[in-house]
Parts: sequence; structure tokens; C-alpha cells
Amino acid sequence: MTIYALSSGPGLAGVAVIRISGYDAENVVLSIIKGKLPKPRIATLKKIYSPGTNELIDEGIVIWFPSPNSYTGENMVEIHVHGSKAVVQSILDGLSKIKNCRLAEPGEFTKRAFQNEKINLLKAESIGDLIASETEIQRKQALKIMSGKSSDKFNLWREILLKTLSYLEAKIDFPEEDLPDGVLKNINKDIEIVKSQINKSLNDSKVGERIREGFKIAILGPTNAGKSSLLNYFSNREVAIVSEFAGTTRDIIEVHLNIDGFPVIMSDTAGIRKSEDEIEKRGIKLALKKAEDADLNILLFEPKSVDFTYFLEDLDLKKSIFVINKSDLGEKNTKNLESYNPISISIKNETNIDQLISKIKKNLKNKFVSVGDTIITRERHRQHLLQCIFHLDEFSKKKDENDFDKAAEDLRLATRHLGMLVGKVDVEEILGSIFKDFCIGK
Amino acid sequence: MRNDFFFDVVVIGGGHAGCEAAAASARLGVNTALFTHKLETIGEMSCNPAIGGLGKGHLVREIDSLDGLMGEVADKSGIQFRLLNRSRGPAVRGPRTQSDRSLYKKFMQSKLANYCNLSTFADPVISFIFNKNAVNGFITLSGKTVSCDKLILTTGTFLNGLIHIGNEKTPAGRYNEKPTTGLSEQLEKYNFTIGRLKTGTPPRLDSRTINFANLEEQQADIDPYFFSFLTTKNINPQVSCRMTYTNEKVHKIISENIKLSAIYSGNIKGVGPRYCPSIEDKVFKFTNKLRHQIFLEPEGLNDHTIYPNGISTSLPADVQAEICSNISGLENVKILRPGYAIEYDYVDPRELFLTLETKKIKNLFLAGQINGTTGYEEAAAQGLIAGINAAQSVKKSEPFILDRSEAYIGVMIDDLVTKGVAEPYRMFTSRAEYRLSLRADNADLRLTKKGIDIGLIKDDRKRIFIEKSRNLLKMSKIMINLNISPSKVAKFGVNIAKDGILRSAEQILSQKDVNMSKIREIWPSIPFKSKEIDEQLEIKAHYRGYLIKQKADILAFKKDENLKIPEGVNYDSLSGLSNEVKSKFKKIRPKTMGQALRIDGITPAAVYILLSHVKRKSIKNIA
Repeated sequence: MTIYALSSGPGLAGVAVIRISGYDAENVVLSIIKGKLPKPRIATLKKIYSPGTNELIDEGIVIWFPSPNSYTGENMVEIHVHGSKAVVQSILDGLSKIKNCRLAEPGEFTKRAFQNEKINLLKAESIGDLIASETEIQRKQALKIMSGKSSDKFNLWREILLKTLSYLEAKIDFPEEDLPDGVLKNINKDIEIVKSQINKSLNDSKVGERIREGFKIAILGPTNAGKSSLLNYFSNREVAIVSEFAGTTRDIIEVHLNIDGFPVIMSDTAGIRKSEDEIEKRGIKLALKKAEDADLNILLFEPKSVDFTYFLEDLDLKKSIFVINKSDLGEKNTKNLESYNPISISIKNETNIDQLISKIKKNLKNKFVSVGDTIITRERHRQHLLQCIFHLDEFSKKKDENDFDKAAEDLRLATRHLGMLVGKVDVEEILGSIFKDFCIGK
Repeated sequence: MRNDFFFDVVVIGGGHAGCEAAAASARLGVNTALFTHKLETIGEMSCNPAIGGLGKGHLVREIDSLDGLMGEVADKSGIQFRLLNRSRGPAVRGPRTQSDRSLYKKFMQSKLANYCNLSTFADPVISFIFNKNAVNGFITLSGKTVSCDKLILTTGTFLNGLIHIGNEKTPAGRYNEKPTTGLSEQLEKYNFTIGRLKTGTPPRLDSRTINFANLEEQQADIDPYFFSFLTTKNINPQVSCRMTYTNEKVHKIISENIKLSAIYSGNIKGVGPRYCPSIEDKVFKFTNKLRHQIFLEPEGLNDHTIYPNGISTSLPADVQAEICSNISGLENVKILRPGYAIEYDYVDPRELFLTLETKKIKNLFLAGQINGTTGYEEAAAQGLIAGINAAQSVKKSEPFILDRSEAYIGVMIDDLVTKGVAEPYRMFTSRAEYRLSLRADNADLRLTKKGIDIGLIKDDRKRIFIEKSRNLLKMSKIMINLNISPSKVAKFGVNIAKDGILRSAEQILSQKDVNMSKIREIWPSIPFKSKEIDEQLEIKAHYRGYLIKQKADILAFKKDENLKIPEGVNYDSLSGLSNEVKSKFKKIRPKTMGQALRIDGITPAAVYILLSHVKRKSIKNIA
């Protein structure tokens, strides 16, 4: 199947780019341009026709990327035409009428690039991240991963483990061979090095995931403190239902914000109070869970609800900012919160909110410090690395000769997790490594 | 057409694959025949006189568990039993023995003679008879026309075999034995992909001219570990192997004459195995290794032939003599027969279904070296599976397929038919994903029941197996139901966390340095059934945790693994697959999702597309 899609954004634009990929891309494009294909990778001005007719649609640049030197690794063509809805629609309609040609599914060009081994799993992920990036810091991170920053590391660790594993497997499968002395000597040292490197990269305060997904701020507090109003203020949008009645927000509402170039997901949560309403109770539970997962909590009170602090004992106060709203009401009954150094604001009058923002920013900057060496950007990566470490720890515990096969199993599982991380697993690699290093065969 | 004979199943070839195939087919009760060049060479060990080893020993135990011949024959002819990796954990123990070559042949032939529905003929096949895309008979050298329902081809290295010694080239299947010609050409007409492989043997030496005095000795184990679950005692005297080494002078001779070697002169086009290199390769590729070991293996109790394992070569005979005379102990050795390299045709095993029937010619099964494998055990295991499936097919019964989580046999056949071979394929334990579960010690528990279900297992084995299973179950129940507290068990010297939680006898057994005799010290009431049962319980305890995890992995594996791909999938219509992937799928036509995933060069993403297609289809079917 040849696939095609509008690769630039939809809507009115100066130029629109349509991509076609597949074994038959050559013939597909020949049916809409008259004459010969342009020279490979040279932008060439061509007239674009409705397929198989003389009906001119537009004039544009055609670039021909023969396989395997293309993004997908297949034969590919890019057509740059005027970015009019009518022109684009007309070309797409034309293509849809060609046999074995269909509209690509979202992400399908990248999927094909992955299938054709043009890119590895991590690169495929990071291309998605790059496309989705909203802030500068996200763009930079996606680009770094795309250029192989993480996969180089993961592959390096995997190679060390594979090599080590191949030594163990050689000992197992060729017990009568005259393998060099000391084959097993450096194993523990190598494993310890890999372990400490993986542990170091795991110990990154999840900066990578935070950048990719956004820094999570939860607004939490008693009912009617103005949590939804605060969120609305930040987003300048009416995202949450704001009403005068206590207990309006039962679900969690999120907005994506860009604060000083840092991606932030701010969520509003259900107000906390002693409630008999089952649905509301569930909402409160959800709010507390959200606070636990968040990188920063904004604990919002109003002078009338400052006594309502029972829920504080369940929270990590170190990642919390205390805020007292409704300073415009002029009540000063906030003594029991003094020790938490609260900021007094009025959302209604927009008083003192700058002070709150600068406190949030300070907090953000601290959390993004170690950006330099981050290689983990997804929970998936973290899980595989944690599993890898778990099995390496098990491996290190084995001292007994009788546990040799179990130790090899530990190492196999550890290696498998790194393989799953980068998207490859193969016994042939282990065998290849054995036969390269040792003269086997009696 | 004139018909001299008709058989349900005919096996061509009397090597390790052929013998197992014929016997398995006969055990399933169908009328079977075996055709070969010479009756005397049925069961011949054409290479080294040993059975088993790592992975290979596992295969023999599995063959035995399905009532095959190799295990018992190896036990009866064994003259040096050794359990390799004895101390490295039960899963990687590999039983091995040197076998007396003539005894092996003798016992194999008498085993075959015991099957009354199996006839043997010394009459080579010269051409097949086809009916469209099916084979239904063949013509022999003596002019007989034989019809059959199923044909199993096990030609080993005989298919266009060519022996190289230096520059000399001789068409042969084994030393001094004629090759099989013409059959490959007939198969090629059906567009079979046929390739060329190479293997080699060392010169054979006369033991009376070897000075063993200063050579290291490798003795047999004191308590032999047998291949067959039926063998109870050893019947032969045990012999030792000796070890010697090459040296720098030998390496120099090889380097100086390297151009004369058939491998280095460009005469040989076939690919040889990396794990069984010629001495030329060893010297050439591992220049920093100053000596290579040689095992001097006796070929039999009443045989003066020594097989010097480690110096297979295709150098000219005079150079071989010069090499030997410079090796410690071999200074005055007489070479009985020079070493040689042999090239032979093999059929790309991706041409086969998991039953080992070919995809292009119906009723034709291939087994053994013809499928690109090396080794007696690999050949025998394929013979067994081909024989079973041919007979099952005659009986219109379900195919018999073992998967990767059940047996090394399953691992091997799956590897062959999905990945093909790039060099002669040999079994290693590293090929098995579920190595801790696929052990030599539990082969019967994994497989014998499956054999019983299709009527493959004879009564004596069935009885022994059922009794063992019953006892094992009884003992396991007892062990689970006995409990003890940490403080009480500490009195017996077993130290576990003093948390007051009761532990079962099974849990106590998994503690370090606890075995069944310790367990009986704690609970004298636990009965003793047999050493074998105790050993099973100990091994299960040794892998506690690992086996539980592996079981979960296997379940997950089987879920997708066994998801059937419908026969008639139109791969061209699947969107999102590259043409390369499509052509691979079309060529191999995987039967299950698991098999699709293991095709060489197939990415998980491609299988995902196939998976979503298959799942979508199956939902539609329900609705």
C-alpha cells in the first residue's frame, strides 16, 4: 500500500506539503505530474494534474527520494503546493482514486521508518515528542533524544551486559572448551559499573518525564477557597465551572501552561470538606492522590476556612505553597497558618498574585536543574531500567557455583529489559559475541 | 504404473534422523519402510563417537521421553559417561557419553528389527514420483517402483556430497560411500531454495601408535547419568579420553600450508559452523592462542581407532601427517584415514511447516542434516517429529507440534522453519528462552504425557511414567501441607527470618544447604519413594521463584504465541507492512503470532499490524 497525507498543518497557509510513501510512490506521482520524475533529492518545479487527466490543479515543487534514502526508507515523494484548502483537497481526492493508495494513519510515516529500521524505538518516540513540543525546553529535550543521546547510552549498557552474558553462556554451553582464564573475573566489575550508571540516571528527580509531560501543580484546599478561580486566572480561560456554591468541582480539571518557558500542567481539584455525598467523597480522595503525584501543591485557603487543616497531615508539605485568598474581604483570622509562611492574595482584585507566580517559578527552576544528563523521558524507560537493576541486583547476590544457571538467568532478564527499551532482542547476538571472542570447537 | 510395494510411510536414509523417523512412524502403528544404501550402516556414527553434551543431551532426553531410540542405544553403547556442568545448576547439566561405534550400530539395528510393522531395504532411491504438487512414490536403483502415502527424506550429507582433502575432490556421502545425486535437482524444479553447507572431520588415528604416558587423562563419572529414563544400570566397562595440545610448531606448519587447505584455496563454497571450526580456522582466526586442545576419543572397546576431536582439517594427507607427528603423544602415530571436509546440499528449512512437511510438495517430509542442522541429536529429534507427523497425517490425526516453552525440540524446529540457517545449526542451551524450565531431568514430565495421548508410548514406559508422576504428586502434597515455625526449624540448623510465620516443608527445602535428607530429619514421617523423586523435589525448590516467574512468562507467551493466523491471510492487503515484510510473511506463512514474531528481520511493529488484523478478523467471526 502506498500512503499519502498532508504533512504540514491544516488550514490556510503559504505552502502545503503532501507526502507519498510506498514501493509504488514513483508511479503514483507519475500519474499526477506529466513527464519524467525529477532527479533524486532535487527540488523541481512541476505542474500537478488530477490523476490520469489533463485537469491542472496547481503548480509546485516535487522532490523525489528513492528508497532507501528517505524518511520512511521506502520510495517517497514530497509535493509542495500552495496552501489552499481547495488545492490540497483536490490533490488528496485525486490520490485516493489511485489503486493501492490510501490516506496515512496518524504517525504512520514514522511507524514505517521504524519498521524499515531507519530509526529505533527511542527515536520514533522522540520524533513524536518533537512534534508535540510546546515549549523550548521540550523541543531541546526531544531533539537530544532524537539525535541518539539516550539510545547510545542504553545500547552501550546493553552491549556490556550482552558481552558479559556471552561469557557466562560460553561457560555453560562449552564446558569442555579451553576458554581463557579470567573470563569471569571482570564480570562483576563490569556489572557494577553498569549498575551505578543506570542508578545515576534513574536518580534524576524525573526531570525528563517532567519536561515531556509538564511540571505538575495541584491546587488543593477546602471548598470555596477559590481554587477554580485561581486556575481560571492562570489559564485566562474558563476551564472550570466557577460558582458560589461550595463543592462544585468534583472531578479534576487540568490546564497546560507555559510558565517562563517551562511546561506546566496545573490541576484544579475537588474542595475538601467532611462530606456524606459518595461522589464528592470520591472526588476528595482523587484530589489527595493528585496532590501526592504532583511536583508542587498550591494549598489554597480563605479566611473562613483556615481552621480546616485536617487533611494537611496526609500531604508532603515540603512541596507545598500556602496561599490565603480573599484578602479583599479584610479578615485577618489566619494565625494558625502563620507558621507555614502563607502568601495572602486576592484573585478578585488580582492582588499579590505576582508574588505567588515568582514563588512558583523559583520552585520550577530548582526542579529542572539537572537537565544536562537526563536520558529518561518516559515512564516506560524508567520501568525497564528499574527492572534491569532489579535483576542485576539479583545477579550480584549469586555467589554459589550451583547458582551459575540462575545467575545467567538474572543477567538474561536484565539484558532483555534493555533490549525492550531500545526495541531489540536476539539470541544470535549472544552467540555471535561468543564465537567472535573465543575459539570454540573441540 | 507398476507398483512393487505400497507403504503408508517410507523413510529414505538410515542415519540418526531416518532411524527415529521410521521407529516413530511404526510406533504409531502405520505400515512403515526404511530405504537406505546399505543395511550395515544403519545407525552409523559418521563423525565423532559421542552422544549428548549441552543442549544436545537435552534433546536426547526429550527423544527418550517420547519413546525414541537414541537414549537407550546411547546408554547401551556408552563407554564414558560424563555429566557436563554437574556443579553449575540442574538446568545446564548436559549428559554426554562416548559410545562404542559398533555397539551403537548394533543396538540401533536390533531396536529397529523389533518393530514388526517396519521393513528395511538396501536399495537407494534414484528418483521421486510426483503427482502434481504431491509426492506419492519413488523409483529405486534396482528398478523397483514404490508407492507411499508419506515420504520422509533424511539424506544427511549425502545430497550431492563432495569430500575435500587438500586439492582432491571426491563425490561421496561419507568416506568411501557414494553420494545421492539427482534428488536435489528434482526438488529444485519445485523452486525449493537449496544451499550448500560444509562440515569436517579430523584424521583417524591408530591407538597402538600413540604414546599416552604423558597425556592428561579424562575419566568417566563414577555414578553415570543415563540418557534414558528406562536405563537403570551401565553394562559396559568405562574408558578414559586423553588430552593433548597443538603447539606453535604445528601452527607454523599449518600457516605455511594454508593455501593447500580446501577451505582456504577457495575450493569450498559451503558455509561451515563457527563452533566446530577446522584447525586451519582456529590457527588463522585466533592467532593469539598458542595452543588448542585435542581430545583423543576411543571409538570403541575393541577398536583401535582414535578420534582426535579438535583438529578437523581439509589439508592434504601428507600435511596432516606432519601436523600429527609434531603433537605431543602423536610423534609416531599412524593415520588410519585422513581428515576431510565435506560439502553437501541442504534445503532452506523455511520451506517447511512445523510438522517438517514441505510447503511446496505435499506428503514430503524432510529431517536431519538436509534441513541445515548438524549433529546426531539434532537429526534424531527432527526424525522423531517428522515420523510422528507423517504417521499422524496418515491416520488423519492432529499434527504433533512442540513449542518453545515445552521442549528444546520445539525451540530447534521453530528456529529452523522461521529463521532459516546461516551455518549448520546446532543446539545450545542459550537458544532456549525458558532454559530453567527445559531441563534434562524433567524431560519425561514435560513430554511423555503428550506421547501417551497420541499412542506413541509403549506400555513399559507408560507404566513407569505414571507411577513416577503419581509419587511426585503425592510427595508434593505432603511437602506443602507440613509446616514449621522459624524458631523450631532453627533447632535443626536452618536459619530463616524469625518472623513467627510458619513455613511449609516445600519452602524449607528451598533454603540454602537444605536437601531431602535434612527435610526427613525435621519430618521423619515423610516417605522415601526414590532418589529420582527426591531429586525432582530438590530441583523444584532450587528454582523456586524463577520457575514461578517463568511460568507466568510462558503463559503470556502462549497467549499471543498460540493466537492462530488464518491460512488465507492476504498479506498484500495489509496496510502498513513494507514489501520486504510482506514477502517474508508470504514465504513463511506463519501459523501463529509467536512464529511471526520470530521471523528474522520482522519487527515487533509489523507483527502488531498483523495482530490487529487477526484480532479484528476473529471479532468479526464471532459477530
